[in-house]
Amino acid sequence: MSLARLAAALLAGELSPREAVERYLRRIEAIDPVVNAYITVRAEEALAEADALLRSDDRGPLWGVPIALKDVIDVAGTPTTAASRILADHVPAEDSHVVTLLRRAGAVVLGKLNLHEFAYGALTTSPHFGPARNPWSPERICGGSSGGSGAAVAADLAAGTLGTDTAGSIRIPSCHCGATGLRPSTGRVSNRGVVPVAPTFDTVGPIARTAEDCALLLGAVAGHDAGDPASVDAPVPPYGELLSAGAGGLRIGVVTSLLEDADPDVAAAVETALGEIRSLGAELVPIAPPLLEQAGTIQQAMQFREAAAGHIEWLRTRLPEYGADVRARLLVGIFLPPRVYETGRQARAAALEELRRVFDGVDLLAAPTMPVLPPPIGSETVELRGRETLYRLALIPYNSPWSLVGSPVASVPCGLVEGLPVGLALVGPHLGEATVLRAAHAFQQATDWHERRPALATPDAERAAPR
Amino acid sequence: MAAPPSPAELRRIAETQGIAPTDEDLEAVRAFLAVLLPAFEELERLVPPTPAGE
Repeated sequence: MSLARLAAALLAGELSPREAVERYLRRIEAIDPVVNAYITVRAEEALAEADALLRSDDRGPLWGVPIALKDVIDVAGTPTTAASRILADHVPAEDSHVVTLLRRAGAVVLGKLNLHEFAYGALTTSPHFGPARNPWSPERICGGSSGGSGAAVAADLAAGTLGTDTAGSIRIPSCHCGATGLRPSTGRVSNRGVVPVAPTFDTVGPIARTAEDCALLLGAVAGHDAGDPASVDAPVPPYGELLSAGAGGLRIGVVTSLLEDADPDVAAAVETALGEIRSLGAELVPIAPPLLEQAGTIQQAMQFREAAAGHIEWLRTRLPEYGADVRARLLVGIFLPPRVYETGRQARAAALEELRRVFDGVDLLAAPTMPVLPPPIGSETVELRGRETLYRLALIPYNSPWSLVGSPVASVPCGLVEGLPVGLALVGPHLGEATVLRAAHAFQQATDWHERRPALATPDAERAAPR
Repeated sequence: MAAPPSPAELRRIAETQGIAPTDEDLEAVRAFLAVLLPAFEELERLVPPTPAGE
């Protein structure tokens, strides 16, 4: 059941918040030992929160809906581990701003989800908490860094989730897990109370079943927060109301180079999806945005230094406690000359101007979310067009350009290749989430890729759970 | 800048920051830098450095 349908059922009294929580707790008990999506399940707390909702007449749009959070998002009294040993015992005293808003909307916090250690990598194979496994093929990665969020949605272990995205961390696991994810514009959602990676690019956003679900979640958590200096003070559109406008009349730029460079079967699935969107009335035009090749370098010039700066005290005092890959990545930041950051900052300013100008001619851009299928756990390389390529390098051109300019991007399930999900990326102008979600919703009204479920998530799996 | 610094040079830089990486850490860092430094050098050619004082 999608989040939107569950929310409607709860508001209609067809089931109680406690029944909704109990349903997910049963599924977590049955399925999560395989998937390892959760780091912390708040079973008792979630049931108490569900019961407490009945003692108030307030009925927010997420009333009684069980939501799970990437374990970098603070929930008062529950550990925020960031899938790290360093923060394994860290228990925040206050809710993050997004959790405050979720609670105001009536949501119940079901638990905290696995991720790549400190959200600094795309594999979600934390040496401290174990890998999150892809529900479509448990020997494969979920992507990351919000891998537990993608896996929880795919295996139906939460009605919806929040992840975070610095350089693809919402889009990548959404793509690999067959979920719908939205990286909102930078500044659209508060980062207060969220463990940072690189503040220039970090953003919190939803991963759920459908674009409609993402619209509900985004509507609950978007908005200006005076407590976050990066927060944008701009009106929040009624995302849910704007969904039904359809794809007709939209002019969508298809980033042809990203199609040409992707795995041929992945590209074919995305091209078929684009044909569907054209049949819904959108105009498709080929486009070659500037700086696609340089965008990853520009983002990395800033990201490595910002990430290292945020960890400098732990690098001095607790270095052996990091996993090897994250330790190396953080150390890189201290060895880069300071001028690299300044060059990156200047290049980003120029890129903002050039890349944002692309949207003068189109409403959206479209491309594959990822050029490849998820590799097996333990493999760091993928084969791409006959060449062995590092997975972490293959993803950069598909994700960094949009992070660099702070654009909203949705990843929408659009096909299966070898039984594994493929994602279509829809990119909007800064603060253009409503248009992105509108196109994604139109596509999902005409297709059923978002309704496909891995065998592991079938009702049979739930029935196997001990009661 | 394009070639990664030697492990000894990296260790010296780390020590100035109060950080004590292992030899394995430094080899992993050098693998990253071998890819990153040429790309950053290319970027610097595209974006001339701002003169001091600006």
